[in-house]
Amino acid sequence: MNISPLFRILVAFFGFISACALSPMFTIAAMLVLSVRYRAWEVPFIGLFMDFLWLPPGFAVLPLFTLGGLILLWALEPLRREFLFS
Amino acid sequence: MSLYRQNRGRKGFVAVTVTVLILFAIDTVSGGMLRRVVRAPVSALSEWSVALSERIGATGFFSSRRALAAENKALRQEMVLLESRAAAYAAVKQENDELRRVLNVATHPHGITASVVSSTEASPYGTFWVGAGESDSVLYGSLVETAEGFIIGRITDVDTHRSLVTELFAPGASTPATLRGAPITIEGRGGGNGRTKVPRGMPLEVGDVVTSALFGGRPVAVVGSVETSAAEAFATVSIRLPVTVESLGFVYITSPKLP
Repeated sequence: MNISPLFRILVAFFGFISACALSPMFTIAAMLVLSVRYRAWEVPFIGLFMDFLWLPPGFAVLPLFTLGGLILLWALEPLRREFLFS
Repeated sequence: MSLYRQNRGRKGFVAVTVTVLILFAIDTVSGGMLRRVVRAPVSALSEWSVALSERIGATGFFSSRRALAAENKALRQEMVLLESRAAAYAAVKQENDELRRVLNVATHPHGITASVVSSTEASPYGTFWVGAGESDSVLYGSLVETAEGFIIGRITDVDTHRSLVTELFAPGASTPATLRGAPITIEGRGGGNGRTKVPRGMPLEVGDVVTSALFGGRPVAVVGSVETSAAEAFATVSIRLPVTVESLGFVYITSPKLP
């Protein structure tokens, strides 16, 4: 039985839950694990969810988690393709 | 080598990127419409989970461990309360000394008490929610304080029944303040903690009250620790709220419009 899709769903769910109630380090860890292991389109949405919950309005603070999610999605693609998993 | 295979997934990445940016733009242009939609169920879920955990604990299933945990919690709360009272006394004494010098009396602004309705640890931006909003006459920019009058932060987003508080010592924030008459700048570290540098040799004690002219000279923190090094000309002072942000159950919101 291939547990990879289940693992991905669980980690993504954990990422959303940790954005609500746990330290940001847990959310970052979930985003990293997803980005390294999968071509995870949900990572930027986890970042966007985090920023929607906690980011103050205005432009004084950058949406770090949204930008970080997009960067992880794009930047790790060459790594995923060449060295890690197909 | 087929170039098509290498570019296979990029259309999906572009779609995700565009979607995320569009959602963010919609939220920004609409004044936070999407984030309010997201926050409402999360806030309700947060309050429900706290209530559920309290009910499970009250059943007594984990009584022996829970009794110890409850006692531990009660003792910690008592210790926090005593520390905050001591800090408040020091703040009142300092304020009294200032008043004696300038013969000016400032009245405490009116306000309301609001419960903290979110985790205070989950935000990477030093923010948390309180259960008071426009329906309670809370305004953008209202001050948020502890029960003893220490400034925690300001209201930076207001919804109908909840508001977002940005802590004074949010990560990356700089706050001008005064410590023993000397001007300092506190660099925020989150969780009600900050750090500043003062000249080595400046007389300081743990518990000294830090005030800020931004808030009419009101107390914003106390000295937590002082670290000196013979190799440096400055001492690193850790600043903290007398009550940890995580232990806050209620805050006091002051605003000119509040009764």
